[in-house]
Amino acid sequence: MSVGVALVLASIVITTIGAIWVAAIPGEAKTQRHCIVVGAALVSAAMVWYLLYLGLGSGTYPAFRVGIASLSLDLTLDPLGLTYGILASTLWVFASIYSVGYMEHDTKQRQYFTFFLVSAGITLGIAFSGNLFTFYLFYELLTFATYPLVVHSGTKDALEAGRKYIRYSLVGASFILAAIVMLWTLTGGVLDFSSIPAALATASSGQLRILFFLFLIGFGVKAAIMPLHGWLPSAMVAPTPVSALLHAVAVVNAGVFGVLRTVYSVFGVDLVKSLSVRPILLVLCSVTIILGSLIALKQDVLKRRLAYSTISQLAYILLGAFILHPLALAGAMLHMIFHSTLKIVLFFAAGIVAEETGYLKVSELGGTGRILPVTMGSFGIISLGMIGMLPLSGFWSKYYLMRGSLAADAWILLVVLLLSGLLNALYFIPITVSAFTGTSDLKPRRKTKALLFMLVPTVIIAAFGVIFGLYPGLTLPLVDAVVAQFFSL
Amino acid sequence: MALAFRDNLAVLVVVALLSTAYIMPLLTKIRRFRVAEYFAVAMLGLALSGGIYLAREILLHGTFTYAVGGWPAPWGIELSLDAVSGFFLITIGVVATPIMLYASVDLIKEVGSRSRAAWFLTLFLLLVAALCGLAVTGDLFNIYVMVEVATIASCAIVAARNDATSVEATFKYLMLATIGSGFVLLGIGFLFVLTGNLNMNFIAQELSMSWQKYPTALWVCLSFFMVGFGVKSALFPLHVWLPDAHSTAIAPSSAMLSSLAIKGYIIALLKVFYVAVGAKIITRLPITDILTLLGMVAIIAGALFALAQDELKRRLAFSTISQVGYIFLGIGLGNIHGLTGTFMHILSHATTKALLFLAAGAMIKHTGKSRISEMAGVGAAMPVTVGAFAVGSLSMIGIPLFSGFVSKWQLLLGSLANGNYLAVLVLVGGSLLAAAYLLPVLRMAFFERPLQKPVVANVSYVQLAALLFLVVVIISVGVVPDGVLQLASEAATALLGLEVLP
Repeated sequence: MSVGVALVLASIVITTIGAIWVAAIPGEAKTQRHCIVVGAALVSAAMVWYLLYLGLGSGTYPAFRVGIASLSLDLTLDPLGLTYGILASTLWVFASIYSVGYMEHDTKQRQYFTFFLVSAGITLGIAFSGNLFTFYLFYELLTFATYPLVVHSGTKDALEAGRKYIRYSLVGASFILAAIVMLWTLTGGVLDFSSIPAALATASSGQLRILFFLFLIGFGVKAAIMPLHGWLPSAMVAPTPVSALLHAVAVVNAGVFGVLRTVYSVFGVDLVKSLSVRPILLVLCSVTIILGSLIALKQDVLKRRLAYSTISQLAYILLGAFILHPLALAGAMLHMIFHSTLKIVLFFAAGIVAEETGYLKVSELGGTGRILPVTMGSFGIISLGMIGMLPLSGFWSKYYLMRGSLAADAWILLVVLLLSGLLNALYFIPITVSAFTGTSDLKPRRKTKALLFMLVPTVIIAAFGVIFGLYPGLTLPLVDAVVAQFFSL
Repeated sequence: MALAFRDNLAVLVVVALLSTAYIMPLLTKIRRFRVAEYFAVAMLGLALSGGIYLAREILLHGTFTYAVGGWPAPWGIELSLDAVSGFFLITIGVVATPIMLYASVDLIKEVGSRSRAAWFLTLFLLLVAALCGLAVTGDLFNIYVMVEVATIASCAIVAARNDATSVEATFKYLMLATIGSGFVLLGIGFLFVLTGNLNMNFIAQELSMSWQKYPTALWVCLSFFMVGFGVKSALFPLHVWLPDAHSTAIAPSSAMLSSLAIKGYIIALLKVFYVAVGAKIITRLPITDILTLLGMVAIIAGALFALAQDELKRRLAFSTISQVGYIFLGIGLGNIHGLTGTFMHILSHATTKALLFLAAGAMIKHTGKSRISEMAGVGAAMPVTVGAFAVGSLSMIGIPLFSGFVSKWQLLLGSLANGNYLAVLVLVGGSLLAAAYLLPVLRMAFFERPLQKPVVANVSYVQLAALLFLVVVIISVGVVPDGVLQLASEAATALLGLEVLP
């Protein structure tokens, strides 16, 4: 077993061990539990970063394989998976620190942190799966591991949201299962990402179209493509760190990642081009982008507004993937990284406001900037990044998406992107403005330790948003590797 | 020597269980009732190890026959040991042992009196012996005898508690099962008239030469078998007796009936269809299409009925009807993947449903709540039991890493190999419906806020051990199914009469 193999496996196992440990220690041992959670997330993230340092130059290599009859569990390291793995595991560390503060007074902390860590391991499993069966396995497990987090509060609304989440996800997963079985018969049992495109060459284009749309509908649920997005806004009843991490980063990006895998690893660029499904896909994404922004505009509950914004932004990533051009793929990868790091700050800020003032609605936020200047300040700056303004990271991903659409002669997409940017400005800027100019009768409260635990990760990730905006080249090695993986330039 | 041991083991498994069954009333004269119970558990454990040994021998050295009393077939009774027998013997052992272990904890309290408990042990062992007999037998007469023993024994253990509802359910069950037996007997009669034999290998030889002379008679005869065994194994729409019988019995009885008893008849059906009549003839008759269709209807209808139930045990009973549909679908597909899926589903449904019924029994007994809508907070009161129930649910839905996925995957491949896309749809839809009728139980138990603070219930460690044993079996079959899967596909190959692949 090489170092890479051991690390891939260990990064998944360590969070699972952490989860079992958290479940085993008594509910009163708060400090010990917090140390385990943050420690496990930190060690796991460090391992993934070390993988980046080790493996990026050498490209794809098989890491670990264990047979399940004719199906094999197969973990592989490749640039695309590594990008998602690094993104998720790094943000997990910050989200777990934030959770320590946010869940301070919660009575079911043990249950929360157990599933929180389990989900971390499963997410890395998705990132590093080397064949479709492994992917499907972790994808399905993610649904079940995150369900307890969604329904955490146990209220009627939460349970209803959980029911909706499970229904959408399981229906989506069964589409994926059907697609995998169909792929199995078409390729004669080949499910490895590295060898599927060649094995698919003999299938008729009619069959391939059915296969493609089965995958798209399946992954589209978690990627929240309209009209499959219904579960996401309701899932906002979850505790804020869950909304921030799962519903802006891990779970939704797992869906996006699935679509990317389908387009680039299962079918390959040439095959998708030959299917001539691109117009439909681009229209689907454009509609989701515009409609998502329009609906976000009308939401008064801040977290719901953010959820619709997420739906719209995820479609940017998919749009970039469907244009099938190197520049657009670079834009998609950048947007995956930047959207996650920006949106998580917005959610964190919304969570702090809700914890400190009890306000959940946009219309109530007037004047909150006065008592929570750092929080609302970060919110304001980062929301500029969401709109796509310089010097914030969001600008660069949109820039590449636009260059990609121009290079692919799809100038109409430029209009879509600009229009959506305008709508983003319309639903984000008033929040900041009213927070700092509005009046309220709130009294400044004593700073608690819990607030500190929430504020520090928020500010650090917000700083990343600015740093990436000033030095977008930092992400270049990773994004270049992904593009080089799928386009022979 | 080794060979003689192997040959005799086939009959020893059945005989040992039969004689243990009859010793039970004597053993219970000992003051400590536990002695008798643990003796029964030990015998079942021995039967399991015998089954594993036989299966290993069959895999290594191929099939063999054993002439009881030294009288060769067609005059004597012949046991025929192939991968089918090995597979079913293992299934029986793996499921019956933990069920007996679970039952041993408070059997006397459950059934009412010490003497009733003694009879329960006898009948339970008789049922297991009859199922083992069905696994190893090679002739139709024996099949009939074993089917009758199994039927009477299972009727009796439904009535173990002796209250009005379970006696009524038993009566309904007895009536329908007797009608089923009648059909089976008619079918056997037809085959005897057509071929002059009761030994299945001889029947197969006769039929392969002469079946085209009387196709209608064969048709009618197979329909009799289908209806007869269909009633007994609760094939939709012949299932009407099952929900009452399986939901009113005590937990170990429900588990035994739902997981093993009905599978015995399915094994008998498989033997008649694929061994006596033969794959070549069966697949040319439309009877397999009918089985596929009935299987698909059963999957959906059973699951829809299950959704409508609020009582936990009734929901599980209807779930059995849906899952039996999967097994019949596989039989109807009639290709290697379909039949492998059938065998794998026999094993995975047996372990899973036993686990679900036993866990449900513990939940109902310790909280006194039998309805799903009342179960809020049960998860906090008995986390291990409800956790085991969760494992069972995930396996039943067919999530990878649990045994249910392995069987459903084979069935999916089998459907696609036949180009039957409707079956693919039904299989996937059935899984979704299974999620719809099982996950709400977990939601109520774990996540719904209880009205009053739950009291921690102390489930006995022996019962927990039985549950955990089944959990371990389900997960290990799900994670490393290679061995069982090889045995299952060997069994399917044997039935299809294909060359055994190296």
